[in-house]
Amino acid sequence: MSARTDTVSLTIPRAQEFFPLFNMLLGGIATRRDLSLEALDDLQLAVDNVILEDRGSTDDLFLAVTLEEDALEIVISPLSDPDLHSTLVHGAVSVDAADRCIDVCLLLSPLVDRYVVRDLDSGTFALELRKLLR
Amino acid sequence: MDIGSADVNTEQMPLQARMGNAPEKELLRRIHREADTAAREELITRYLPLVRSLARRFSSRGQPVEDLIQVGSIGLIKAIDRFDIERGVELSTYATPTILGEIKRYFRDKGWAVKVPRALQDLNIRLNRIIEQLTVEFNRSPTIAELAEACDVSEEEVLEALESGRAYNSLSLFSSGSPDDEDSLELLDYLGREDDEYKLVEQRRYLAPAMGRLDERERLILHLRFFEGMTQTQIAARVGISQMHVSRLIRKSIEVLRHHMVDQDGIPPDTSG
Repeated sequence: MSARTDTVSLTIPRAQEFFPLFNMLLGGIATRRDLSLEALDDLQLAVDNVILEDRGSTDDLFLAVTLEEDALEIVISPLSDPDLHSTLVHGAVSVDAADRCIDVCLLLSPLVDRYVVRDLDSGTFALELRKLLR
Repeated sequence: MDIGSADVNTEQMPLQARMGNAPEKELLRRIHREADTAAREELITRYLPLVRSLARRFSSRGQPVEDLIQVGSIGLIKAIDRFDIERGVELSTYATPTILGEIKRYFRDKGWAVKVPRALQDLNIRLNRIIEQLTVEFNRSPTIAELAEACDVSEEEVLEALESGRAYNSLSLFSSGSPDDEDSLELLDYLGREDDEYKLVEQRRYLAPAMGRLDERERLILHLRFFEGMTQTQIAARVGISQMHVSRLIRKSIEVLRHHMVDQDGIPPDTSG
């Protein structure tokens, strides 16, 4: 029998004043999983940076956190910035975007244990972040 | 806030009207050589649209634009009073950074970017101390539950206070250093020894052009976190500051870099949606 997983999700307008709500959600999860403040800060920083690097879209933002036995799985969608997509898929900022993009892969590497890009039918994409609970 | 009634004398309006077509240099000459207050008021009036324009660039940062216009007006008055007519530059060239500087100083002094209840501000301050104490005591970063117990508040209150603390920290974008940089002098010695190591950051493609915006300690911390993979707690021990301070500096540094890349003149973009 597989271990039970629960998912908590939140959709917010894409406006900076609402971004802290994602941090509060992550904080609530971290509290229930007894994560350290530092681990929580890593997750919040990772999510913050992904959102801030996804420029140009006006779609609402969706965050889902799935609590597994030994990990947290975080999904952020819909994302649409082509530079962000390219950076995440290729693992580095392309040369022609180096002057306008933060290397999100470099930021994510020490903050989460794994990240995966999922292309969506709408032409947008989702980013899955995985953080092991140690 | 009041910028001072002496600066806007409505009784002088007829005189100002007569000066409406006077060249700017003539007004400046009268101000500085004849202490002509009417000329000064005319020049202030002419430049208020510039103040309004600059103030609106900060409209997404949580303060009323009208307050920012008043603060910017103080900068304008300072610029007019200090302007050296012999320097051969336009007043607008001189006034713009002075107005921006006054607005940024206002944000720094104001501290909190959004309205945060006093109780949460106080809790945030307490948390900063307790996090440091518990990190030393446990030899690891504390959990939210441990912080809540230590502060005798709910876990939700801890989360809210920590989050609201970022409302303050977001403003440090404009400061040259951290607001609690009491240890900066000691760090200078330390950083000198690390010179070769942290300069490696700049040799990588990661944000090379923007890294110059950061101070030495910020570059070192980014290097240790994102290239060396050290945890915040490890960096805190190595650099000699608290884990919370490391967290703040990382966020601030990334924010500075992002703003530099998005907007080369350093004015934060409007991300309010």
